[in-house]
Amino acid sequence: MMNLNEVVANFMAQPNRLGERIRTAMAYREAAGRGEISADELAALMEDLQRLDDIQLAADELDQKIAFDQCFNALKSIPLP
Amino acid sequence: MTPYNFRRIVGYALLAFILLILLLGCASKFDSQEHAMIVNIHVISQDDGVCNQRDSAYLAAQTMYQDARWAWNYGRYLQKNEEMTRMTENLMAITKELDDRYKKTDTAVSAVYCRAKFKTIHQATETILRVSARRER
Repeated sequence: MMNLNEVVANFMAQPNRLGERIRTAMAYREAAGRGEISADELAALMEDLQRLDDIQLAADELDQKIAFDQCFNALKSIPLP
Repeated sequence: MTPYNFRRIVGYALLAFILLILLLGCASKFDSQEHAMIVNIHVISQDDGVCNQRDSAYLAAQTMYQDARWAWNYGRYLQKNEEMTRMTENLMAITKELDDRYKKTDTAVSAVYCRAKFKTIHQATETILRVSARRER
């Protein structure tokens, strides 16, 4: 079974959006460790990453909806075989 | 019906018609106005150099929050698009947090935190603009 550090390292190694978010979160933690940002600021930035992800999810959903509507309208305009 | 009453009724009907046209005009212009607000936040968030000075950072944070609040508040009533509302609501929350922090004069705000916020806001607006441009096509 993987420990917590391995789980995080596993996510960080991913080349996708999730991996990028985790790498950013890790950079924030390191900045907090160096005293560049306060614990309070760190918490706010971590929350922002979740909000950013929610924005991305909503955008994906809207993209999907637009694509579906376009396809559906095209289908309606094609004459029956 | 006297000619005076008739003229009055026609006058009121004309006034109502003009108001209706104005209202419809404003509603149709809304999309582009909301877009302009997001573009403004997008542009401001590009220059994280302002984070080096508290005054300039506060001004930028305030403008971004006001624009985000405008886009969310009017969007949810006029546009009624669930996903767009969700996106602008999140953007507003991100900008509000930065604005609130600068508002507290006794609280120190680190430049690293400010730059990270600007980067997040920039990414958020980029996503919103990309999808809203696709929607308007």
